[in-house]
Amino acid sequence: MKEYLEIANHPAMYLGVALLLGIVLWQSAVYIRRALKRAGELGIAKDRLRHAVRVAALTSIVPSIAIVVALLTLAPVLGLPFSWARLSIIGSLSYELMAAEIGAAASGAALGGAGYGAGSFLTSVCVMTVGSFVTLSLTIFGFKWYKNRLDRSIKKSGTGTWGKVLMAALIVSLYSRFLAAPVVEGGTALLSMAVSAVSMLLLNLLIKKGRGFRWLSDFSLSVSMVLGMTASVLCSL
Amino acid sequence: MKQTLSYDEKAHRFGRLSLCVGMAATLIFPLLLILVFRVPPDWASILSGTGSILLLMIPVSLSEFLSIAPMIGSSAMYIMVLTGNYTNLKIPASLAAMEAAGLDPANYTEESDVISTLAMAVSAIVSILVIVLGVLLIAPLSTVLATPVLKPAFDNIVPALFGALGIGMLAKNFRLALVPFLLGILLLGTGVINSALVLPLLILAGVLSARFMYKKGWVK
Repeated sequence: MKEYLEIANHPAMYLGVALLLGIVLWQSAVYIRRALKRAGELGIAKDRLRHAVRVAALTSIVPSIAIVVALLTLAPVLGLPFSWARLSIIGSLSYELMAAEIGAAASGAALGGAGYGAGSFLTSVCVMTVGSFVTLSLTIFGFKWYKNRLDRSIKKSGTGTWGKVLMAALIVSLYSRFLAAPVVEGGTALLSMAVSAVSMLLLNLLIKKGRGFRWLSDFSLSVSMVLGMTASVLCSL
Repeated sequence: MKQTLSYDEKAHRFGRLSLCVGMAATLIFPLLLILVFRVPPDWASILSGTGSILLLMIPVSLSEFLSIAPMIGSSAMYIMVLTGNYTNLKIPASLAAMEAAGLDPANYTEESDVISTLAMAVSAIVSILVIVLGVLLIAPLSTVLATPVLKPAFDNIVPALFGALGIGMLAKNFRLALVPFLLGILLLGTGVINSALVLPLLILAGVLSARFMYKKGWVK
């Protein structure tokens, strides 16, 4: 076991994890409390809230398992505590890996390679930390202004139909990005996407058909996703 | 009206506060390493590395920020930026929750704001719990999850997620999807553009084509 990993996996590093997770939980708790209060003021029905929350929770489970898998790949190189903290805060696997590699290269070593020691590790840690400051700063300093500008320009278009078309266009473009990728890649990616899409369609039909199937609506997304993933596993056997 | 403003105002104020706190807190790792573990900092490589990443992240973050911020409510944005994993976790969870509540994600109202805030926050919490569980079970899990048999499943989470999520939206907004989808295939297929920039480009193309179609009356 390389020396720097002893530092990277030291119990004291878990302090950092606890601190960052604590901040995330604090932020979420405050926003939840305020949103619930606001929901009360707006008169939103409790079951709609519950339903929405259940769907959000269920939809988050599988992608979070993927993050655990990402953790398994990052931890051997960057230690478990730091990898855990990074994947739970701000970034995603692709960003963290890239930033870690930039750090390694800057210190003249390959990530996790022969020359990668405590110094290189520190460099990677610094690079990964500072890189996130860009998005954070943009949001801290620019989001409110940007959002207000956007809201104003949407209101200006009178009836707001352009506003709706714009929103739809934004979301559809986002989806297109991730629907185009499997089409280009083909193979199991395309299969997963297709199976998942078809399952979703079928489940929605079922839900519309009968009152007995209403409970499915909480699970339709997660189930479709898992079916898509299963198809890719079966296909690869 | 005044009440609405202050809910939103407060959301921004707290968002900025929590992000500042978060940002400062991320320094704990470099500080632990330097001060507690006494790892000697190699300032030359640290400067060089941070310089490179800033150069890279400025265009990428900026374009992502400009294109994703309009889709998300105020509070939700701050939660999302703090916790990350937007496209593979948070945004899909938020959009799915909105549809579950019977809201059209394209028609943004105060209700949508509340629901998306709850969705983002819940998503963040669930994610933390799942990962904690994962870490606690890491020894047995690493053998189970890492089996080559399951690998295709985890490689294909995002396609499966967007397959289910996108089918409804796309069917309803076929014309709006045409340009970004085809452009996406073109850009990803030829690989001429760095993949980090594809999303903002598609969003730009999607908005421009939508504007064009709107003016022509092809979409309402």
